[in-house]
Amino acid sequence: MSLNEIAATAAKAVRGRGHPEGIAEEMGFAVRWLCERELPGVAMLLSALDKRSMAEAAVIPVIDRADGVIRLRSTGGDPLPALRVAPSMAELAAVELDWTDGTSADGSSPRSLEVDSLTHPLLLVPFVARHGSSRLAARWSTPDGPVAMDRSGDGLRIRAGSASALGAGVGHDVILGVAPDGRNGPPDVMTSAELEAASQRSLTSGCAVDTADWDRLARWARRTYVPVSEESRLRGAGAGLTDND
Amino acid sequence: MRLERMGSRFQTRLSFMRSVLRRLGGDGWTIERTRCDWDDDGYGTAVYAARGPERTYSLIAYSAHLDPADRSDRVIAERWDAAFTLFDGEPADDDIARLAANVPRQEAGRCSSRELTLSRANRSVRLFDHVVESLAAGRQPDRELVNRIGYLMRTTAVYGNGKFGLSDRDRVCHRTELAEPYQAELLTVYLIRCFTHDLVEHVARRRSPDTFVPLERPIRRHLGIGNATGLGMAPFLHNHPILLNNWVVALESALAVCRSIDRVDAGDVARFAELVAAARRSVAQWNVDDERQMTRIVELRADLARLERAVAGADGVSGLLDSETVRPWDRLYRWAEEHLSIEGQEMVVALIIELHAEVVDHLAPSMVAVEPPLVDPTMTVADLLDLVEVRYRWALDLDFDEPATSHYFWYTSEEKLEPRLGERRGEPGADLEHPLAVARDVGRLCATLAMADPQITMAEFLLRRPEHRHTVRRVQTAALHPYSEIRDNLIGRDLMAIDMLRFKLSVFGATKFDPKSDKWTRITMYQGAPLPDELGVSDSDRWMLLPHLDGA
Repeated sequence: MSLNEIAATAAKAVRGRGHPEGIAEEMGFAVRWLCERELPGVAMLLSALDKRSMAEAAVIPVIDRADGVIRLRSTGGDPLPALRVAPSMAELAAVELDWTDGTSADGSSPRSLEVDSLTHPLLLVPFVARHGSSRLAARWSTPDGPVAMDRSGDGLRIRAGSASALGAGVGHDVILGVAPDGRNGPPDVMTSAELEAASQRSLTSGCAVDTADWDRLARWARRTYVPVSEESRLRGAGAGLTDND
Repeated sequence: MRLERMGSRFQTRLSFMRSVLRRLGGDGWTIERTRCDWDDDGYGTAVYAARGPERTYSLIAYSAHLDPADRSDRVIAERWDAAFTLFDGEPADDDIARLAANVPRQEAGRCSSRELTLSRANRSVRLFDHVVESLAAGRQPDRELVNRIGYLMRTTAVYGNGKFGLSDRDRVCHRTELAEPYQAELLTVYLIRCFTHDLVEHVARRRSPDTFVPLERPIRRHLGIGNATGLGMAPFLHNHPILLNNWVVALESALAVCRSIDRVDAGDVARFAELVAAARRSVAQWNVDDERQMTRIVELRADLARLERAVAGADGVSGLLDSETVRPWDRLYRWAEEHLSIEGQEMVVALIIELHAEVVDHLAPSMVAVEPPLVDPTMTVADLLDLVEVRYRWALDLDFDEPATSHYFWYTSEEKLEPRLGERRGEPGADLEHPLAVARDVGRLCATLAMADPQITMAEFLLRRPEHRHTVRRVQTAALHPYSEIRDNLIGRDLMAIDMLRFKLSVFGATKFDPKSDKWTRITMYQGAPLPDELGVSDSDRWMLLPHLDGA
């Protein structure tokens, strides 16, 4: 699959599931970003779409600001869905965290944005990656081990205790912060050089996507198409059935 | 920018087909047919290699018999007279075989990242057969018919950028020859034109080798490639606001630069007068069935006559342009605004820009766009409301309680994924409408903003109200890119979707707009353009600005 196809189909799938256009656009970007780097973006998105998520999608997150932390939660205590809140998490972090040098912090500006549980946390990664500051970093824990991302001198790093940690359905104790200390973090899974190499491979030869996964994604996407009627066929596109000289 | 003006635009030297031709000529590209196995009827496979200083691109053309009952230009067609792909490099036998199994199936097949574009074309049956018969019989085709139709074949889609497995544009956009938009697609069309010229001569020659004559050069040149463009192209302008902005900025900048030129010399005046005369000859040969457009063309002809008189001067009154006038193009443009129809004004713009390659051509590379813009999360609710008031006053003034204001909805049909316009109150599907209803969505955004805390940031607002993310992004984009939004209601009853099509087509370089309804149009591409052995002639790309055929 080309990256463009992946972005377009992912966006349509999100829209087909009933999410707003703006969220669909962002998820198209996110899934493309992940697939370009050979991370399981399509699988993660499918999981987020399949989950009976419309009730959770209607949840409006509550923002608590106290003790140097911005905390996002849902009113009922359910996990927040990354599909809906990931772009906003990165944006809030960019706007409200204290980006000054730590030594001048007086505790009034928050140093981290935290979420107790976030579903499909891999979807958060592209938004952290693209946002302005190179010092925005993130980590969370999963049943299969921790995941962390930050920027070393060479570029973006994603580190996970195991590959299945990256694909976890839920992340706990999610922290977005200003360059959290990574000294005790998990061993490297992908360094910046590997991410760059993966990106080049994807551009050159496209991305391999599991056929069953692609079919499911395409099925969600098809829900944005209006079924055909003889009437729509004749009226809607403006031309008759044959356009010949 | 409003649709009325967008829908009156013409090709200019900044159009993409023009920059393709300038590059092919300026950098010494050659075009060679490297393979051909056509039978007597012209069915088979051909390969055309376009060789540049650093790289080669090959058009692979598969032509086959098509039953007339199957011939359709609609995107829902399943078979065509010819199918094409532009291969990155020179294809080997196994590439040709692999693509033979896919390219003729078009959307139903798959390409690889070694292919850049995918396209198909149908014969203009009337003209193709007439040309074959004429050449076979030893005479040239009828010039009037050649001009009336203008092409031997017409494309009905040219896909690129990753569709159906094609190469992502990002893989190749750093190459000079592909950096500007649509260069691969328009190179493809140029090569298809070469293919059609060769094909028609081949069929004629096989029919009657002893009496066959080839096409005369002027006629060959006047045969471009037709195209039927429908609504599929329209949402593009909405979905690529920064690109739209950059196209308009380049054109407006070109005009502004020319208007600021202090003086012109007698040579410039003479060249301009030649262009006006050429425009008159060309527009005299532009005839269409559509009443609305034909009325505009008739008025344009009168405009050009008026323009010619005004430039030349008469009855002791000197012309608008002379070596004494300060900022003569500005004076001319103001005169046009006052005296000519909108199409007349746009023609004047195209002619002025045409003369000043030295200050205009360098704007071409700016007609690209970087990634889609991010939301600015720092903006407050209050600031966004101010922005909407300033930039979208035109939208806020619309009354969406009136049925006519939301008459249409844009959607994609399940059938071949064809974009269509539905009538909200007549057809099902409005719940799946595409977000082209910008004016309406801006109104809804304002209503929500008005009830929010004015000091909260977009970061917080959008966390709570993700349904407005799309519209917030658009409004913020419009602040930085003034031409990014079409300032018209795209779902109103008096929408002329064809204005959107014509704008994009004019930026491509199309000519001879031939509307068939308010939702689709025929056009011609590369009509009058240099033939491959003429590419190196200086300014030869200008020949296609005002296509004309003597005796037609």
